[in-house]
Amino acid sequence: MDIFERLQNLDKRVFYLMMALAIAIPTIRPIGLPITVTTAVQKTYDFVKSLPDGSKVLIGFDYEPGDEIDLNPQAIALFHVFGPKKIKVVAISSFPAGPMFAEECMMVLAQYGYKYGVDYVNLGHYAGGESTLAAFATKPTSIFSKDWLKNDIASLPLMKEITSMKDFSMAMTLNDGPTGGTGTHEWVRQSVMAHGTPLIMGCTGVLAASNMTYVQSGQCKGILAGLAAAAEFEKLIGKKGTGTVGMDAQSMAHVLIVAFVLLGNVAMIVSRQRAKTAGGGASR
Amino acid sequence: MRISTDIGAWVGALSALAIYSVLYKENPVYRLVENIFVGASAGIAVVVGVQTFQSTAWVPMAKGNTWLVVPMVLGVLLYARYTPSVSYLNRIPLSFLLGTSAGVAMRGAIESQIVGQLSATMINLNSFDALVIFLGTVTSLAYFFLTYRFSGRAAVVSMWGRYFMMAAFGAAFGNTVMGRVSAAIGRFQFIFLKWLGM
Repeated sequence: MDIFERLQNLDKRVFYLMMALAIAIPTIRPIGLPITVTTAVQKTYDFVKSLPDGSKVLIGFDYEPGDEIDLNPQAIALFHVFGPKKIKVVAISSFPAGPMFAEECMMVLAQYGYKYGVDYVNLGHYAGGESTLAAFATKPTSIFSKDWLKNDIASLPLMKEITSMKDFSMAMTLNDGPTGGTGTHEWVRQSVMAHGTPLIMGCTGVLAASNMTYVQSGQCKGILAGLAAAAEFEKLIGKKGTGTVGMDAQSMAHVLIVAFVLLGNVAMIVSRQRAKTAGGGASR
Repeated sequence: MRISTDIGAWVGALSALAIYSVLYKENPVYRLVENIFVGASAGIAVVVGVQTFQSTAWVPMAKGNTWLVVPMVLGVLLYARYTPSVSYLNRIPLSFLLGTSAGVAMRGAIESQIVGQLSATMINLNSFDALVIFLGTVTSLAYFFLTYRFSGRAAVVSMWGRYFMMAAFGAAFGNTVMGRVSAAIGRFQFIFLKWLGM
């Protein structure tokens, strides 16, 4: 059996092992590969930077633990922009695990002297998907009577300033699609179309292609797609976080995948050529 | 290296390793953790459901919003499907749910997903990007023009539509791979950085 046949019959566990090494080594010992800021991330950063000081934003933490690595770094990087501008944050979630991520990410705001209830609020989980989001956008208190920490909404000074979606200078959804909650399409309909509130999207890499259309059409002000966008945003704000650390591993994993795809195809083409030649020889 | 003393980190890391062990071979540890995951997810869903019911229906009703009994009754009717003699009652809340969901979605769907997207393709063809968007839209739509079979030179249009779609599928697949690799990176960061403290 020559090298090409061996490649075609490679035990998939060899690939798994190589993939594990490609991710593990740069995670433990970061290489520091260069990160280039893309137009989409720059546009998002510029928009967020242009928000007036002290304005209010709504963020939907619409994801589950599997998407934490893509979306948590995006939220944290964004909060580092909000912090110096004292932009007030209201967090909601259409997934049960979302409020935990909101709490984890909003801990960053404490660095900037934020006070809970005055400068930021975590309202918690809501059921019912788009219908509930629509109701929240019209009258937030119709959906939430207590926040994630079981405080009465009426007792929170920040919530007294908010009567509808129109009170927010910007909305953002961090999501991996609408299954089980609300995704980008639902947020575009209920935020941008129904109330005219500018929207930026934070999504996993899987959704990048389908969500990008909203930015190209001008319906959304920006998009952060996947861990790569988080790393680019971290570069723009000058703070290295888990996004930057993860990019070395991501690049190495991609190099490995591309190498295997190329090798596999070369092996297949060579094997086919040989079979054709052998077949042709036999017929003669 | 400072290994975490947090019990949650240990449970999370060992569970992740148990799940990854299936990549080598199916084994009882993997099955145990998988079953725990399914059971825990179901348990969390029940708790969240009960909490949602309490906070959005039961407590407000007890405080005087008596009209909330209507959606509560509709909710109970959803379970009528499990009793054959009254299963038809299940259609009432289902119809209501479908009607309201469609109505809420329609409010912005036409503008955001049809008009907005269409107008985004009606642009000045003064850049390469704009040309690609225009040609990609027109040729892809031509590919799905199924009532007329393109032949001869006209077939080139639908052929290019197919190429544009292949490129889009490739981009989508590449992003999907990136997303899956990210998920693995997240677990590796958790294991090496949070659990093992490397």
